[in-house]
Amino acid sequence: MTKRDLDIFAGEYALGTLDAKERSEAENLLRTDASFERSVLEWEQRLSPLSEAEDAITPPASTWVRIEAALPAAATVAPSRGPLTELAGQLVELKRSLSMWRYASMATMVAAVAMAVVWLGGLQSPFQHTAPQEQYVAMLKSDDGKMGFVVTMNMNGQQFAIKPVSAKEPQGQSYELWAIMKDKKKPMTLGLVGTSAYAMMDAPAGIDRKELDKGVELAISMEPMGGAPKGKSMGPVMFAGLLVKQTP
Amino acid sequence: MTQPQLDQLLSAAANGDRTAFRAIYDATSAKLFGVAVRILKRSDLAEDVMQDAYLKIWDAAPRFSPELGSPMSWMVAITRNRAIDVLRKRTEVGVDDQNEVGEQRDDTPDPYELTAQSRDLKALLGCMEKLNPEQRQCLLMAYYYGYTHDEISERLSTPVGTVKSWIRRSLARVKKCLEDD
Repeated sequence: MTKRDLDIFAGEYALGTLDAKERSEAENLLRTDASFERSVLEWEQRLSPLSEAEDAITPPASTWVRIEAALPAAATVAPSRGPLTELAGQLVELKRSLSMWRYASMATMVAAVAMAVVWLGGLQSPFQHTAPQEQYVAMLKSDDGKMGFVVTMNMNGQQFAIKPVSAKEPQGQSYELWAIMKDKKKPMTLGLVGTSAYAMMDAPAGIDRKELDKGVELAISMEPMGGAPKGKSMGPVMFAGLLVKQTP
Repeated sequence: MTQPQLDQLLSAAANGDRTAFRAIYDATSAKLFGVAVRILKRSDLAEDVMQDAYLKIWDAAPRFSPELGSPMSWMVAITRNRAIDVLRKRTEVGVDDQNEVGEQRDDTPDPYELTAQSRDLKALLGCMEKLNPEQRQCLLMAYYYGYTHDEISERLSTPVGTVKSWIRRSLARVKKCLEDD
């Protein structure tokens, strides 16, 4: 190809008309030929104003959750326990001391923790206390495929973050989160969940890495206000999803 | 968000600042999602593309330089390229989402109707105005939907050779016109 042909080829690549084979040729050139790369960048700049006419569509909230979960853990030596982390820790501590079933006070705590988390959120992902690590993520969907919540759990299963996406607060009832483990007969409750704020919670003992590797399903059921009586789920499952490992 | 703000956020993100990265996401995600949805016509696939695109933006931020152009153009290009790659892969393995072909609604964005146009867009549209309408249509269809030469030829019922040469000639003319400007 002449220089001019190559430039037009770069234009076609940037425009998007090349088929799969031609695109991979162009991508090879991009890696090996600096002047071709330059041409492509110029074409992209020339054409991209057309995107101004593109509709803006707000992506589902789960999109950011997924992106954040897939970001490499912060490599910088952020203080592992800064004042904000400390505060979040205290809130989690405090929450634990509250009765699980006192929903009203818990909702307040969840909101407070959520505030701290939102505050912290920009600085670091929920599980940044230690070295870079993998996490488990579950998209909890309803039967008709609607995303209700996204749960992110750290590798050891001690802590998890739950983010409501589109679930509506049940009228006069409560949502309760359950873990269903491969070899255990009974689902284990992880507590009540609100629908208004991102919350970080501690998981009860019993979920560990071994269980997570075997596959843990999460489900959210609709229970009487305050949670399932005697820790046994009575209500219908509203949302469910499998915890899947995400590598940084 | 203005371009210098985005430049600044991008250079903060290049240094590992997640707050800045989140701000970039908030400022740009709706546009990029719109781009991906238009090309892939499916929100779940578009969401996958968003994840790949933003991770690439995060990774490549240290190499982005404002001299290369506007950060928004750069991010749009990353998203479009990823979306088109996914589209091609699906076509290649024969997954056909194109059952809408029959009822393909003509909702191709019309940049000419946009009330607020950037200087760059005005210049580009001015140059595209000098092409004949079919050629201009080819460029817009290709840009917004990521159609191949073959797909455009089918949609416009025009031989693929003609489409190819239209596009090549149009690109060359647009480039020359922008340079002369």
